[in-house]
Amino acid sequence: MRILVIEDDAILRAGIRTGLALDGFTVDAVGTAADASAAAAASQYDALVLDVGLPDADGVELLKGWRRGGETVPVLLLTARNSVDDRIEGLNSGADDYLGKPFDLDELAARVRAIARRSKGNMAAALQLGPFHLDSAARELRRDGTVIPLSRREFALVETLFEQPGRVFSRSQLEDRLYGWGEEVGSNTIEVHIHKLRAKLGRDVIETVRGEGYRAFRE
Amino acid sequence: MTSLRLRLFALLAAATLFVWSAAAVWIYLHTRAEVQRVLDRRLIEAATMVASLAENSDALVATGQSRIIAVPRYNRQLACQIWSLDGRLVGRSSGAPAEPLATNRPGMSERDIGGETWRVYTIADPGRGIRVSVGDSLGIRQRLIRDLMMGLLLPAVVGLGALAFLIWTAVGTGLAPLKTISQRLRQRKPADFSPLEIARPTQEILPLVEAIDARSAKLEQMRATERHFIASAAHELQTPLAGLSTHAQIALRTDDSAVRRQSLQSIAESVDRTSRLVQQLLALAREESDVDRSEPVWLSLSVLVDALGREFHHALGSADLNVEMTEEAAAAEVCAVEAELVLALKNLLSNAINHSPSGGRIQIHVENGIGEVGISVRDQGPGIASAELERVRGRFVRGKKARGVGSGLGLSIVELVASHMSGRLDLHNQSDGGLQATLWLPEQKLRA
Repeated sequence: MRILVIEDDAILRAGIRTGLALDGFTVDAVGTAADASAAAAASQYDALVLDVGLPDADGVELLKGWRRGGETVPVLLLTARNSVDDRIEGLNSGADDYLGKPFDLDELAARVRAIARRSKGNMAAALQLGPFHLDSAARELRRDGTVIPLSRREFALVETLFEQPGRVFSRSQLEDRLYGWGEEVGSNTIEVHIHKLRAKLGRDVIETVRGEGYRAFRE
Repeated sequence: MTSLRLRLFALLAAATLFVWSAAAVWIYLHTRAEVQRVLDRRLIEAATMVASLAENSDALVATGQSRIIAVPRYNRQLACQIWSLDGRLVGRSSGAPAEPLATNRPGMSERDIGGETWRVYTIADPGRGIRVSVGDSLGIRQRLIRDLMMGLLLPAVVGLGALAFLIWTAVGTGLAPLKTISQRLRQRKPADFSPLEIARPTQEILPLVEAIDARSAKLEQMRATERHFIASAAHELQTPLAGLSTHAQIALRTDDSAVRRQSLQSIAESVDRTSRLVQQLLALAREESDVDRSEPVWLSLSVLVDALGREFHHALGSADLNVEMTEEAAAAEVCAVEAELVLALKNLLSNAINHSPSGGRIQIHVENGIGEVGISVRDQGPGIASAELERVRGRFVRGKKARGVGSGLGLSIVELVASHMSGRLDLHNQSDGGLQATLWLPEQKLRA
């Protein structure tokens, strides 16, 4: 799951980035509203973590602008302004969730995961697809009750494909989901991961769509 | 606690009593004089009348005895004696004593007879050989005056009670607006700073109402500022605290020692920054509170800058920065409260250090203006975008080019100190880059 963190405070930004990465997220982080708009336009994110107090814009106004422009990406507002009025204003401006500083990293991860899941139409915290049971919060994939050990990238790949079963993802889309900026991606990295996954899950779970990409659980 | 109403009442009552007493004394004196005059005239007329009626002394004497003359008894208060010139009592009225009422001398006289004082008018008629004395008792005169006075004063004394009541009520009514105000003030909640809204305030009350309203408005504004400040402070503390908490959680859960070290490093930085923020908040609060401000003294600028240089020794050394003072600045003395001036210089110097490029030069010099002198701190940093030059003075505002662990309070603090010293803070970008921050002071506060 790839998310964008927009937080002007460098130390906190680094903390969120590292912390969410520990939780299996692919995290990009920027410090200004201008960079955030550029990043959101350039990449596809599953969710945004937006700090309300940015040096060059008010986070709430920025969000309102995005929503007016038709941007539907789920957004979690991160703020030190924690009054009820502030929360209401934040949620009314188009935010999907609201978290006051300081916060617990696990809570942030859970909330981000929840808004991303809801935006894809999945209400349940865990997915059941055939014999597979995918629990994003626990970072576990089970087949018939047995845990299948997966690396961080493999799990992210499974998560991406399983969350929207039947949808075809191109290689670059998958790279986008798995790797943040500045992370080296080899030309055949995705193929390597798919290969390993097929070995662990079985050959027919992930299908190659020639010339287009990959999909799981074709309808 | 004295009551205004009681006080006014006492004053009015005292004034009324004084005027009344003065009037009563005057009336008494005047009445007495008038009664005296009228009764004296009566004595004279009576004496003249008796004298004209009396036969000559020989005839009277011829009767062989003193007899009582049939003087009309229209008034028992009058006593009449007719004496022959050779000293025999020829006749007297019924109320008259047997002793002579007067000496032989004609005219008005007073005499004590049998414990009673008589006022007597005597006329001598040498032609007929008689002397007529007519007198009345002074006691009676005094009783007359007393009765007159009682007739005048009794209603006044009774009226005094009514007047006291009227004054008491009138004073109460007159003070009603004050009472209304005090009631309003007592009833309102501590946080209520709305105008008093007194209907038709009187000319005397209006300034009071206006003063209270102005004070309330000022208090309200101060409270709003304070609340905003506290909210901002809390807000500003949340972010570094969130950073601290996040990194602590990472350090606790990661197995990667490099990640843990990075997090611990960030925690250390966050603690630095948070403690600096708290220090700045405290400094600002202290500056704002106005309490315990000591007297300004003459301070050597170079001594203060040297001390600050030692304080910033590490930061200066690690970035290879030089702080230079012009000769004029090094010789200058400033009249200021030491803690305040140090606070201002420290913030300006700290800003310059944070924004100087490695190996940069920070220059402190004295500027001369019209009626004011400036202490300038110049750096070779990126300066402040001209659009932001005003904004950065605001609290918790950090410029877009801001670097380091600034709290966004430094310039606010300097500005506050400047205003305490009747000065101002000027910020401008130099033509060759870098910021020049000048603390302008009234010229008498700096001497070379």
